[in-house]
Amino acid sequence: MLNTLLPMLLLAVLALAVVGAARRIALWRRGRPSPVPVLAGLMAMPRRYLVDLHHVVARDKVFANTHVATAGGFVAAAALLLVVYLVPLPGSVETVLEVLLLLFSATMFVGARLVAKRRRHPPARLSKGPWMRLPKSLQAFSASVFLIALANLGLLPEGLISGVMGWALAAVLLVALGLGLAELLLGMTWGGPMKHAFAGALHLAFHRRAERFSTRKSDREGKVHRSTGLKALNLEDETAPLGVATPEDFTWNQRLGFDACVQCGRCEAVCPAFAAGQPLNPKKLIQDMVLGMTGRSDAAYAGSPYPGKAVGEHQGNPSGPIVVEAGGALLDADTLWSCTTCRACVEECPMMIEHVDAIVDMRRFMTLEQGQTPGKGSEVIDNLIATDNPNGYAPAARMHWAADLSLPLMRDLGQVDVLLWLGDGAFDMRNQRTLRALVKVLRAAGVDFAVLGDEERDSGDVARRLGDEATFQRLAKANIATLEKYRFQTIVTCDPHSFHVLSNEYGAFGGHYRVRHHSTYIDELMAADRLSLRSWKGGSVTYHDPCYLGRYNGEYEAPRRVLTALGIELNEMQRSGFRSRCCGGGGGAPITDIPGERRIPDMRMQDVAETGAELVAVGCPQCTAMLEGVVDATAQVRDIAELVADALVSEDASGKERAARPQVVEVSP
Amino acid sequence: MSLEPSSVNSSSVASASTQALNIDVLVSVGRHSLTERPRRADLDARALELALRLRDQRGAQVNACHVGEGGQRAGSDTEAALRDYLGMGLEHLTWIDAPQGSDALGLLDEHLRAGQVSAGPRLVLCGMRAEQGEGSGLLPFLLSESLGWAYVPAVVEVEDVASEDGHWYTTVLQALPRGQRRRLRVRLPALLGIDAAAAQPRQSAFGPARRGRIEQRQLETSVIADESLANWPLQPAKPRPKRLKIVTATNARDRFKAAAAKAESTGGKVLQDVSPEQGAEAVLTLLKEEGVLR
Repeated sequence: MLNTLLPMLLLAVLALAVVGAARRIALWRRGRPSPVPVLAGLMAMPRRYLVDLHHVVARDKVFANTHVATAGGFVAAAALLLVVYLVPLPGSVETVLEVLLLLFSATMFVGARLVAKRRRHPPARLSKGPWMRLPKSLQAFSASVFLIALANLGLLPEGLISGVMGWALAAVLLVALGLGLAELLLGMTWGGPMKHAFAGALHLAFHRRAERFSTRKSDREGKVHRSTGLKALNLEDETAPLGVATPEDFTWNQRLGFDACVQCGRCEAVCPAFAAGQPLNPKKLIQDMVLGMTGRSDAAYAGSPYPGKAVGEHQGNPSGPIVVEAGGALLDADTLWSCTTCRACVEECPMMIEHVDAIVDMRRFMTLEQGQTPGKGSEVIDNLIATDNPNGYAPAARMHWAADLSLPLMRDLGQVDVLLWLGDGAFDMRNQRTLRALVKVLRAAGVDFAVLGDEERDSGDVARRLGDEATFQRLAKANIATLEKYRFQTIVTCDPHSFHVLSNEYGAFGGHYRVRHHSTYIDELMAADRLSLRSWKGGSVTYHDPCYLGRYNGEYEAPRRVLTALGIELNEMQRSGFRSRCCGGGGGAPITDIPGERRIPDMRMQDVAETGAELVAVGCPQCTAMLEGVVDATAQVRDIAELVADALVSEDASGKERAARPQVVEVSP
Repeated sequence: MSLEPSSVNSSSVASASTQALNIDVLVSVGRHSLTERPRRADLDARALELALRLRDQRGAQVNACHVGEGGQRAGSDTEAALRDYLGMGLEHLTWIDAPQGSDALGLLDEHLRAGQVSAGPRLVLCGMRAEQGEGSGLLPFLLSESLGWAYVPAVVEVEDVASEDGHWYTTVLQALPRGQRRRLRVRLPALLGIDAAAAQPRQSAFGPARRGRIEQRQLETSVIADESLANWPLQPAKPRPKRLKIVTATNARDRFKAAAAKAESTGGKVLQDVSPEQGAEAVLTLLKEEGVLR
């Protein structure tokens, strides 16, 4: 009986799965066009899955192994099942395949047991609901396949497969297999926990940022392409859309990406806004985007909600607005404006979903079409439009902080080695101390540098993250036009936001520069032995990675090398490097100022306090401002440039020291 | 104080819905105080904000118009500023051509008279004064004189528009010094000068600003040159010097009282029921005392 019913069952499930796939693909395709190389993408998919995706999954070793066993076992077992029961094969080949089937279903069963074990006391970040039945389905499928293979190989005792027992067993096996197949194959295309496998595979193939999966080793290590710059809007074409208003305004492959979410909640666990009790949860956001495609309510969502917002009060509409001022639509505006664009979610996402892109797309519509930038957002944008800096200072006052430094101006020199990009920190009294320190360091190293002075404008970072692409592009083009007038080799800046925008986002407008964060540049100066420094005498030090330097640009090492070279033994925080927690200052978050239960910088300073460090070294004016604003902090906040400047041996002394240092002499052996 | 209690009866509200309130907003080109870049003028933007709120709340018809030099329009400073107004949510805006140095008064008079087709309620809103040019704040006074309509300066809020005995009235709040407000009832049509204390203008968004239409209009009226503009020397504005408040208190309590207390007006007098000549005489005397007139 098994051998007649099984092929029919398999064929029926396959046919239904194909119908489901066609429907789902049609649903994705209702988004905006986004041309991708289809064949090349499909060809690259296995590699992207096995290398890039697994690279992220493997950060959790135990679960990575579980997933390898379960998913690998399932793919192999399902493929073998189809071959064995749908393709006529010679007996000997069939026996070999049956043995393999036995092996893979057993592997999968072990994996499924581990999945079930993890689900017994699931961490808060995992979604419950249908996800709780997945381990059962996995076990049902793998066990029934295992037994069917056993039966076919004649390894089951005779008593079990003959007579009434045989019928009963066949019925049980068919039901179990049917349930397993329904979850694992039908669920892939009709919706259910296993949707992530089907959508995820295609998402990897047609990813909007294919350069994230570079095959060059240097790129994978994050030195060249991290593909973190936001995509430019076409403002030349007046009919081109300005951001995303409805779920159908996302590109089709963004919609596909939302469907790839496996609700593992790694994003939720690292999101600073979620931790602060602000109404954002990246996992829920992506799930809401999925609901938006079908127009359902979020009542069935079984994960952590947006803090302070009950589940079941929001309803999607496939071609209706995502955000409605009165609320009740798919999202509330404060959810979008809580994001600090720190990219922690994107960095953690095993499915390579681009949360920040989606958030900025929706912000763009709110700012450019609706004029609803919250908080001080509209004021900041108005200031950027009128004065080229976010706080509305007179552009002519940009160099007031350096009145006594007689800084060389590009306008006078025309050509230098290093262009020192000041950033808007030039107007901020705290950052002026950092800038003065940096100038001292550059002078001590004898660097040939100059500044743009009053010709510099805001880089456009804040405007862009607030969704005002028009102001960003105006500032970018103006800055590029200014930079075009001069000749320099490197731009050095102490502002990671300017650094990111200059090096990753100006390219779309024709501005290609070699940009260095000051920590990287100081590291290069030290490597070239151009600085003589005293060794560190202070207490314990920890280092806070700025998001726009670390996750956005992959620079984790240079600041640490500089600090180590100063003789500092770093006392690392638990969340450092690519897992560093945001200071709360990015993405215009301090400007829109969405209330939460805690403040993000307070949590970060708590991280610092846990290390027992007396000083936290930073490399970003935003981080400095946010962390210094923490009341009753246990640690001092100093920029790397300040630490280096303090350790500089004064010029006369350094001359002596250099002379006293033994010269390297070549000795013949 | 001309305080009249606002009376709203139900029939007036019903008729208000049938006859839409017609609002003209006069907008000018503003300049940023530091960079002198063209932008919407703050007070005019507040006037437009008030009008747009009336549009959203009670379906008022809002028309904005600007009188200014035509010619090269695309990319001009004027266009940039007008687009700021469009970005607040206007679909179109009228730009009345006026040669350089001409007086806007006659043109506005004709434009507003031409718009007076329906018998419905009519309001004209504008900022109290322009951010550049003469900036005397006299235009609405002169315009109200030539149109024969009432002018209320320093308005911060339009509370109600209602009809009574066949006439339309509006109830507005007028700003007085030190945050005081007074409620006035004005017969329509009327001009309202919007004060800096009115609600902040909404954000101007890029999309609507780019899409909005600027409709150029030529008027028949013979253009009169603005003589005062031609004769006056123009110079950058400086903040008006403030008279120092000299406090001769010897203890903290008195200093605090002096700092916190309302400025007592001293030496002034309230003239009531006097003839125009007597009033003018009193004003002249005051100006001589203050050294404004010699």
